[in-house]
Amino acid sequence: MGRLPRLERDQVGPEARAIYDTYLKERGNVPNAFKIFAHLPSYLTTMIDHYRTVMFTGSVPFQRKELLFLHVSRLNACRY
Amino acid sequence: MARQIGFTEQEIAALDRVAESVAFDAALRTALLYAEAMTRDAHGVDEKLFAEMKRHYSDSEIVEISCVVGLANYWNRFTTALRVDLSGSNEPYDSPKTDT
Repeated sequence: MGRLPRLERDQVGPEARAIYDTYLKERGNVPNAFKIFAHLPSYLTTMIDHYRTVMFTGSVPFQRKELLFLHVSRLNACRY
Repeated sequence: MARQIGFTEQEIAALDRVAESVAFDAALRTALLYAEAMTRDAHGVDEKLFAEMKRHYSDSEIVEISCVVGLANYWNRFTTALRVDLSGSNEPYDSPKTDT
């Protein structure tokens, strides 16, 4: 169990719930990190926007960005 | 994750020895080394490394890559400090096998 309570679908407002529903449909679950960001809905919505902007726009191929993201996560020994 | 995005076992293993690996082209290797320096100690992004980045990438691409690395570090530290459990599995963050 993480250090902070995860906010489930019935504990969040419409803005976050819409995001939960998108991920439930796309991947079958809501990333647990989102359920922590959801403590501040605007952080969740802007974080997702920023993530998508950084990873999916620009001229560096997405696949290379994913490898960079993975490499950093391995360097940080991040289990998530 | 890397396998899902099309990287080979050889390329994934090569992440442990980026500097001397031939699995990556020069541009990708430079970005990976830049990511390492930026992650370990951003003060360690020295002029020689940055000149290599400038050789392979445009200014806006360097901003892109720096944002990806910065974002990855953000997420890594956020989920680690808060011990966020792994998504899509019932395995808690600090399951016994990870604490040994």
